[in-house]
Amino acid sequence: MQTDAELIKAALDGQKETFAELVRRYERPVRAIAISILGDHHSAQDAVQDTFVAGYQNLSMLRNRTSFGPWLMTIARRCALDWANRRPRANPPEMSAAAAIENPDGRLDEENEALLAAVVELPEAERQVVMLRYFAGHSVNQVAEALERSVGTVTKQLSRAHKRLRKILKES
Amino acid sequence: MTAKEPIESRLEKLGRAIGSDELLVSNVMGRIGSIKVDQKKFAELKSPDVSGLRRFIMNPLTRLAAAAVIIIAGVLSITFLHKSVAPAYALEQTIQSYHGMRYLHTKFFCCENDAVAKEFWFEFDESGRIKKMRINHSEWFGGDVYVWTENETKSWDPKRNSLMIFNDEIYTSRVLGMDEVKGPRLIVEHLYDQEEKGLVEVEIDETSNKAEPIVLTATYLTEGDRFCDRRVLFIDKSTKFVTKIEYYVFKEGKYTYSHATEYFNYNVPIDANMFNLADEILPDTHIIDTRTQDIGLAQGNLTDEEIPIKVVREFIEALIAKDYAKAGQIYGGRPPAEFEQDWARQVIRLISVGPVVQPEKLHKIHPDRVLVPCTIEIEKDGQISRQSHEFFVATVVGRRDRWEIQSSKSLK
Repeated sequence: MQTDAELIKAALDGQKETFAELVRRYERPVRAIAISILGDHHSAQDAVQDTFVAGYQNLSMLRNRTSFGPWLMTIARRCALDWANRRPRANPPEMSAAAAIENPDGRLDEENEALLAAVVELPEAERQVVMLRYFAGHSVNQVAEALERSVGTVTKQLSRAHKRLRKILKES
Repeated sequence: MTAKEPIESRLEKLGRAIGSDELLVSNVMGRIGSIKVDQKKFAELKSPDVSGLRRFIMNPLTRLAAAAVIIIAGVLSITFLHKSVAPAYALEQTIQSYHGMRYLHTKFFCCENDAVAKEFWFEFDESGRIKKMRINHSEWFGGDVYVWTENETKSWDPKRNSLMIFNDEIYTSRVLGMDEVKGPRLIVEHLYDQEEKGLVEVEIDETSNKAEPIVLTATYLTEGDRFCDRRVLFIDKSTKFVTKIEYYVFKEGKYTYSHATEYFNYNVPIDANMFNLADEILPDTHIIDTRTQDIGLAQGNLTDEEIPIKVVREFIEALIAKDYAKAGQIYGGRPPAEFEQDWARQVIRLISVGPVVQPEKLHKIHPDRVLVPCTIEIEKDGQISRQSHEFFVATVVGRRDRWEIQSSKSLK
């Protein structure tokens, strides 16, 4: 598995197709941020696309390539807020059949919504490993490789995130 | 999904509910097909001559005009993210000035009277990486001395005449992450990064008076970092070195001074003995080396909730059995005499221990640290009574597979 930094370098060296791997890797984390701000899948669609396009356009401005995830999440928040300001929209965005079937009304149920809000509240390092592990479906080893952290660090961060999430959900 | 489900499976279900879009990759790749990311063009954009956002604020009128530009630029940067350009000419100059720096002496001021709380000495290698560090805590901060090198940390407590030696990944990353330890160069680079990401607003105030420093105010636009919401850097005009950083927190609608760090003796060589405690520790200093000694208890197959209870239980049982060597080994490797002379000899029975309580704040060096309540029966002057205690239990620095008691407090 290539690291984020390696994929970014390749994309900047002209191998544009390597950016597709970063899109696949961060699709769900970015979508999660967008949904947490915009509230539903339909509204999140455009913000997700805009995030990756803006990310690509600004890729060479990223000085620390191991910070790609947090940096992209910042862009995702901005894009989602931008779309939130543009509401109401006349035309709903095009949505894939699979996504539409999975989420017919476009909204998460109440418990998932609360859990997502709690994930978004996590400290940056923990939020990143949770999103890559559970939303993007990567193994702990793959998360560690992608983020250039040790497996032990990722495991500890996941464990701390679990505890923190339990606490946030209990309090809410 | 129910609230009783394990958090792991709830997160997996949430991941599935968030879903994915098989059209996303093709849509994104279609949109970026015509975009060319050009490194050279980017470098030109960032050069000082064409940077449209560089701000010199010299008088009230230009300050006002600059403020208007900043507001407009801020609004535009939200909508046209790709067009935002990091300024920071002075920042770059400062980063440049630190190349080749080998030694630095720092003082950290805090508290009500702005007293020196900690003093730092650093030695860097050719690439600017920290090779050696020493911290002297003031009396108010406990008086401990830390000497850190890449493979070994020594922590000396002169009051208890105790020296602990360890090599710990979490401790080292925490040390290297400390603002004072990062050194002004890395702080400036960090601000540069944060500004690039649009997370920090930088204002540079440079008067024509050569004796006055450049004042760089970096304000976090969102939630700030773990230290502050605003940093003010004072930069020497001739050397471009940072001489002082003030930290401010946003409270009750205004930025309030919190603490400061001053930087001295740039590149003045530091005596090698400063990074070696050999001349300072005493012949009878109690030495705990977690690299070679088995401090605490091994976790084995127990969970993070089970092992702290076992640690406290075995500690109390050791006290009852008057096995002070074992009690000391569990309690941070302390000398047995500390327990012989202390309240331990009064313990006659363990009444209850646990359950584990998660502390409100996550400890930086001991993220797994928990609180274990315990009730014991003691005998004093022929009277039997109950006492409640709380023990802080955590993994041993440098041996994260082992757990120890770090401190305790009597509740009544």
